[in-house]
Amino acid sequence: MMRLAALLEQLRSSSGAVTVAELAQELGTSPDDVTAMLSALRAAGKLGPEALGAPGSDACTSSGSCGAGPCPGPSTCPFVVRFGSMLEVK
Amino acid sequence: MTVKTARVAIAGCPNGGKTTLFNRLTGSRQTVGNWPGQTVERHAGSFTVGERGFEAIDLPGMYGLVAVSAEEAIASRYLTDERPEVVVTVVDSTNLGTGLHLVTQLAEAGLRQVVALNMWDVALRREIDIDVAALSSILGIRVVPTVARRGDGIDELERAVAEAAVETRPPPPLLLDYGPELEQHLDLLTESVRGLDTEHLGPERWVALQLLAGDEYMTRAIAGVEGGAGLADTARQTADAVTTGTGFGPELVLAERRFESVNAVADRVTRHPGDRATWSDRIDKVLLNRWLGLPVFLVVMWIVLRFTADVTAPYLDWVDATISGPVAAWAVAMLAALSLDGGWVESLVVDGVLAGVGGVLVFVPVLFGLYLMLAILEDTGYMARAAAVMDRAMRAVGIPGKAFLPMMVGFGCTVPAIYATRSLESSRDRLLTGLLTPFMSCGARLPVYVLLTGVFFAGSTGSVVFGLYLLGIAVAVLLGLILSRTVLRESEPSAFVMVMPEFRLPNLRTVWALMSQRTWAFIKGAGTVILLASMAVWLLLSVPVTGGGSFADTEPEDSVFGAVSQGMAPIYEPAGFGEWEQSGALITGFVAKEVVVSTMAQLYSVEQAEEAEEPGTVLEDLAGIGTGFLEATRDTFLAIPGVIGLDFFDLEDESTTDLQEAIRTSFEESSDGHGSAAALAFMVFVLLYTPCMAAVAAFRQEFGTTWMWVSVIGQFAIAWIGALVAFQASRMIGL
Repeated sequence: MMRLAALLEQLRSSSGAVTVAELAQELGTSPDDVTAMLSALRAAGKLGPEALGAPGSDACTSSGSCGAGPCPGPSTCPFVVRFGSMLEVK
Repeated sequence: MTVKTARVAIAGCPNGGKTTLFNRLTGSRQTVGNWPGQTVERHAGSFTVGERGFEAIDLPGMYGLVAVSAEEAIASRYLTDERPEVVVTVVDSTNLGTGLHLVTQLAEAGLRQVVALNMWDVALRREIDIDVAALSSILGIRVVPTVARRGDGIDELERAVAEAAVETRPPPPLLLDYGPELEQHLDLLTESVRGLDTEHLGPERWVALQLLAGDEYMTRAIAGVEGGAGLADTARQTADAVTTGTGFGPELVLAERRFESVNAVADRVTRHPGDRATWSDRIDKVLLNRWLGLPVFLVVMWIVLRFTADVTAPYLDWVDATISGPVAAWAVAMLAALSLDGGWVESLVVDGVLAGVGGVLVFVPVLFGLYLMLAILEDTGYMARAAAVMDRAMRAVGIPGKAFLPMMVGFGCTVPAIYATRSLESSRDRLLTGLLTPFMSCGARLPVYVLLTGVFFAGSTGSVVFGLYLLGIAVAVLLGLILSRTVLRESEPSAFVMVMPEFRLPNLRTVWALMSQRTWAFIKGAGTVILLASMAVWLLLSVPVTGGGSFADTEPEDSVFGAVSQGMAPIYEPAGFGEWEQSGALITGFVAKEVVVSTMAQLYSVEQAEEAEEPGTVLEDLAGIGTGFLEATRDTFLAIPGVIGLDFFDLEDESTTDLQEAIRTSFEESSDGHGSAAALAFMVFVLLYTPCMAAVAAFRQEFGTTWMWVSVIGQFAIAWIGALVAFQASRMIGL
C-alpha cells in the first residue's frame, strides 16, 4: 500500500486529533518520516489548515473585553491563544 | 536604454522566514494594499541590483500549487497566471523536504526559481549538513543559503535573482518520472494539450498533470480554451482509469511519486545526526501521556491562575491607590480650576468615569499577569499540548473532537469562540459547541473573581479562581454529555492531525508582543465599552424616581437604576445575593462582564461617605506613585515563590479598601452573615450566566433567534441553579 494513502487512512480512523508522534508509532516509522509525508499530503491538497472560522461581523463591536471595533474573528483576535498547526483531512 | 523592472515573487511555506527575507530585500521601500477582490494584505516593495530594478511581491504562505485556503489560492493564482520573471522560493533548511515539494511543483510548472535555503544557521546548529552544490545541480536551480534574520546571504541572493532575470527563454520544466502506468496516461494527455492554445497556462505536461489531478482551476481554465471542453472530459476518464488501475485517486498517486522523488533528493543532499529523541520529544512523553497529560494540564492551569491572581496583587493595590488617590485628586482640582466642581459634572467624572473605568483599570495588572503566563505557554509550545489533552478528555466523554478548539478560544473571549465553531462541518456539532462555549470562563470575568476573592478569600485567590475555571469546564462537559445523548446526537467525527511545535525557551520579544497586544486591547475596552457603560449607569443613578431628590442629587436606591435593580433583586435572594446593588451589577454585566466590577465600584463609592484627604503637591503625588511602584515590584518578586507554596515572606496585606469593606458588608447583609458563601454563589452566577450582549449577538448570527433564546434562558437557569447550590452547600460546610 502507498505510504501516503496509509497515513491518510490512519488519520481518518483516528476520529479526532492525533499527534505526529502518535502517527509515527501507529505506522511504525519515525516522526521525521511522518512530518515529510504530511508535507507531501499538504502540498497535494489532501490536508488543509484547520479553519478557526471566518472573521466576525459588526455584531461584535460591543464585545466586552475587546472594544477594538468589529470582531476580527478568531484568526486574528488578540485574545485568542494559538495552539500550533492543525491539519485536517480534506 | 532603460531596462524593464523585473517582478520577483517571494514564495514559501509559512514560518520559513519568507517575510523576513522580503523585508531584508526591500527595506523600507514597501507598499501595503489588498489583493484584488480580497481582504488579504498584499505586500510589495522594490530593490535594485546594479542598474536593474526589481519589484518584489511577498506572497501568502503556500505548500504547493494546489490551494486549500483563500490565501494559498491567491499565491497559487499569482504564480500561474502572472508568471513573474523570477520566483524566490524560501525553504526552511531545517525542513528541506517540506520546502522541496513547493520547489518541485513550481519547477514542473516551468517557473524560473532561485531557492533561498533560509535559517541556515539553525540547520548548522542542529548539525544538518546540506550539499548546496549537489542540490542545485539536481534541481537545475540556483540555491543560496541565507539567514534572513541577520541578512546573511542576501547579497548573493540578489545577484542570483539578477542573473536569473536576464534569461529571456522560459526554463525547461522539471520532468519527474511518475512510473510507467501513469506516464502512459500523461503522455496521451500531454499530446492532447499540445494541440490547444495553452501557453498562458504553463508547459503542456504541467497542464496535463493538473488536469489528471482534478485541479478545479485548471479544469475550468482548459474548458475556456477553444477545443478544451472535450479535453476536460478526457482527463476525467483518464483519472477514472488510474483509480481503477491503482486503487487510488490520481492526485494521491501523483503525490506519492512526488513524495518519493523529493525524499530521494533530500536524502541524497542532506546528512543529519539521524532520528534521535530530542528533549522536546522526551517532555512530550509526559505531557501527552494518556494518564499524566490531564493532571499536568491542571497543575499548569493552577500555577497560571495562582500567579495571575496572587503575584500581581501588589500592582493591583498600587494602581488602585494611584487612581483613587492622586488621579482622583487631580481630576477634582482640575474641575475646580474650571469652576465645575461641586455639581453634576464632578459627580459624572468622579462617581461615573473614575469609579467605573478606574474600577476596571485597577485589574489591568491581573490581566497583564494572565496574558504574560499565556504568552509564555504559547511561545514555549505548551498550548498545543494543552489542546491535545483537552481534545482527548472531551472525546472520552462524547463531545466532538474539534469542539475543544472553540472552547479553548473561549478562555480568551466568547465572541470569537462562537465564530470559531464555523470550523465544524456538522451543524449539530456547531450548535452543541456554541451552546457549551460560553461556560468557558473568559478573561473579562477574571476581574470579578479577583475583586470578590480579594474580599472573602484573601490568600486563596488563585485556588478559588482555579476552582471556578474548572467548574466552567465541568458544567460544559456535563451539559455536553446530556445534549449529545438527547437532542443533539453525535455525528461523524472529523479527523485532523496536530503538528506540535518543538518545545523551546520563550522568546522575550514574542512574549512581550503577545502580552502587550492583549493588555492594550483590554485597556482600549475600558476606554470605550466600559466608559460608555459607566456613564450610562451614572446617568441612571442620577435620575430620581422616588424620594424627591433632583438630578445628580438623589439616593442611589431612589434612582431609575435603583428601582430596576430592586425589582430584580428578589430573584437572587435564595442564592444569597438579593441586595439591589448586587442585582444591579449583574444587570449591567450583560453589557460586558468587566462592567460588573465597574458598576460595583460606582454603586458602593456613591454610597460611601467621602473622606477628604489632605491634598499634596503634584511632585509629592508623583513621588508617592513612584515609591508605590517600587514597593509593588518588590512585593511581587517576593510573592513569586508563594505560587508553588513556598511562602518565605509574610506578605499578607491586612488593610482593606473602602470598596472592599462596602462589598463585605453588602454580602454579609444579603446572606444573613454568610458573606463568603454568597460571594462564592455570586461568582458562580457570573461564571455561568450570559457572557455579554456581543456574545448573544454572535450566537444569534450563527445559530438563529430561537437557539439564541434557548441559550440565554438556559444559561440564566443553569447560573441560578448553580449559584443556589453553591450558596446552600457553602452554608452547610460553614462558610
